[in-house]
Amino acid sequence: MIPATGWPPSRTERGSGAVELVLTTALILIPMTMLLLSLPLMVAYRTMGDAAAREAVRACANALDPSSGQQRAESLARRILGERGLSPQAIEVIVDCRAGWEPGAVVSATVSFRAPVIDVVGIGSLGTVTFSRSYRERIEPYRSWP
Amino acid sequence: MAMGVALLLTLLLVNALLMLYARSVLQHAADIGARSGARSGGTENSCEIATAEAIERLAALYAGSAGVECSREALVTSATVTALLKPVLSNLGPDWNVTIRATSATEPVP
Repeated sequence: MIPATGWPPSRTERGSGAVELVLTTALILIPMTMLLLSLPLMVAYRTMGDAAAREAVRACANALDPSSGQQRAESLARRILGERGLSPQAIEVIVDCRAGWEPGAVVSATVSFRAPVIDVVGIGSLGTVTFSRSYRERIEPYRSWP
Repeated sequence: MAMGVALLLTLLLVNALLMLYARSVLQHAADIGARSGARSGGTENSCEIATAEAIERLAALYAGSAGVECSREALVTSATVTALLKPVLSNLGPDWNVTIRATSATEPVP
């Protein structure tokens, strides 16, 4: 029969609880926490890519001519991503505004950017992931301006 | 001891996730406001009303304290939302002062 008080820990087991706590924290708790905190950031990156691509293609579709539309769409996409915290070097904007630009045609915009996987304010960032979002829009076929 | 640390970590994590969620909701509200003000015939006032309505519907907790400001120019319309995000429990962490901007292409008036 096993005594209710149990055996005293042997000399080799002393301090194992503290070691387990440190290992668990370092190998499981911190990586899990970082992973969970990165999920909302991934959603935010996707949303900002959507907004930039959507507004770029709207700027192109509403422009008075393809050249100004192209320029306006690119600068607008960069502005939207920049005001949400992305560095200009990490942004690539591809707008197809000139090809076949006419009322009734379809124009498209693709926005790609690199963003950190984990970004803790005041501490730093870790890893990089590339996002790419595309939008297409038809130019109003019966528009009343050129 | 270990259980206490784990509970505290869980609370801090939930708090951080809720704050990030609140920020994304405010960003969405600013997007809606900017798009509303950018319509042909839209105004800064219509942008601010749309943003405030979206905040009230999606994040009523911040409806009274969030500040909304819009500007409409020839090419772009912008909405700016400022808010103070509070932790789930007081003393769990510091308040987070966020400023969120959204920009939309202004539709030309034919």
